[in-house]
Amino acid sequence: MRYVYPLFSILGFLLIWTLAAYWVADVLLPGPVEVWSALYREIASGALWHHMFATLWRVLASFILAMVIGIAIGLVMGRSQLVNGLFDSWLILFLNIPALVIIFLCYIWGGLTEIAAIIAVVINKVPNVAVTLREGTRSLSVDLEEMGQSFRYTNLQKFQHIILPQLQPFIVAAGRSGLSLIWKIVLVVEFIGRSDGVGFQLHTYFQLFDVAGIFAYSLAFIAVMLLIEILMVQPWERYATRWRAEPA
Amino acid sequence: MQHVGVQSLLKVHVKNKTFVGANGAKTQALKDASLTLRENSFTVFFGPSGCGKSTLLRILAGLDTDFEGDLHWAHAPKVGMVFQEPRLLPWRTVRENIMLSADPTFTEVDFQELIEVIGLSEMLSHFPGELSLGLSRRVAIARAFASKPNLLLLDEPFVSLDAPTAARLRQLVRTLWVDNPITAVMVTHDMREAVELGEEVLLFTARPGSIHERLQILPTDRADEAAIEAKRAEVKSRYPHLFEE
Repeated sequence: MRYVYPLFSILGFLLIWTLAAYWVADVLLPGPVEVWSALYREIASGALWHHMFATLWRVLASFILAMVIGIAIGLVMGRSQLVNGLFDSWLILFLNIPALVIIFLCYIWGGLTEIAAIIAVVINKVPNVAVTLREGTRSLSVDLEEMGQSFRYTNLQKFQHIILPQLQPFIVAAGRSGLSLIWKIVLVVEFIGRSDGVGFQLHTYFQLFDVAGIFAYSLAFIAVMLLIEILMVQPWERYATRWRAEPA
Repeated sequence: MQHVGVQSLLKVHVKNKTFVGANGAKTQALKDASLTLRENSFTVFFGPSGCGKSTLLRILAGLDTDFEGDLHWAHAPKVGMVFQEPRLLPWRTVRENIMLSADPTFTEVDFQELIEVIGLSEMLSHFPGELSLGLSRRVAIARAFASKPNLLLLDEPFVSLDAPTAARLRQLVRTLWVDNPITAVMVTHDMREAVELGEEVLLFTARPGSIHERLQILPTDRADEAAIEAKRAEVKSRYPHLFEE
């Protein structure tokens, strides 16, 4: 039964989509068959892989940077009342700057370069990670910290065995929302100022009013992100939470 | 001049230890509490709840440094702590919990020996969440001994255990203390426990806590159950206000 409902659900969605496309009968709403042939065309020409890898590379680079920087900021702000008091308003400011403004400014100051593009994505994501990890740091157990202190754990041991496992759920939460936010922002960054990537391709098809092409790239990229979730995020999470008793 | 056997490890005097509550209210936990710990002795802090005995233990452990008074160590102590709650790392196995605190000179042979004595052989790959309280306490005790302390601090380590388990663990701590050169301090509000393990029992008065009386416990006092019970009854009749039962 586990796979039956999702399967029917997906088939139902495809059916409604096909019927709607048939009923509208317009190139602006292509059906699944047209989208599949657009996708096939991109795969066959090699364009899909080229642009997909360009985007994935940017997603990966900015994801790692944003997580590392955000975790560090969140840890420091969660631990130190002074630092938190000083920079809390900065965090609120950066949380609320529109993504588009950051992207424009990075391109204006840094030129239409790869580095400017990645910095723009990182700046957009870091405040979210920092806020989540600050909450996590505030909830760290004092009891376990004292235990580590009395048994003279080294700083590395404290971090690896006491702090990191407690922050793990917060890191997963920040990472999950991070991945979905980052790839959307990467697409905007590519749309505005790059000459490859899924965002660039979407831009091209937008100018041609080629909805089938837009759908093809969107679906392909969503599929890749799903694979990352299923093949990488979930197995790691299972490993990291293996010590929890199985839910009944 | 050093006299083997009567050398003191620590002289401590706490003039004043005050807690400030969230609402600003001040509570004096300790007032003029002083004591001397002899090397390789077993000292018990006994008293009613809130008499500051756990606070003094935390000061000895170096976990609380915010007090008026001073500590004089004969040499730097190496503390092995057994907390009231086991405080194990839930995400590490029993073996990892013990080995993470182990002294660098603690070998695999030492480990196997300790595990054998404590009776955890079957549990090494389990996570703390899968253990009963009694087993978790044993892991906490094993962890403290694996760190090869010269000062073992026990904060009500047998509380809320069923009687046979508590008795077994007391016996275990006694065996380990006899076999190793360790100065031990235990906090308890159970006089039977105090008599069974302690060489010297310090009676704490209620808040603000200070040390009211020192009792020497002789081997004959813990010769058997009846002797322990007799000693407990005797202390209780002399200091009824320090007992809560």
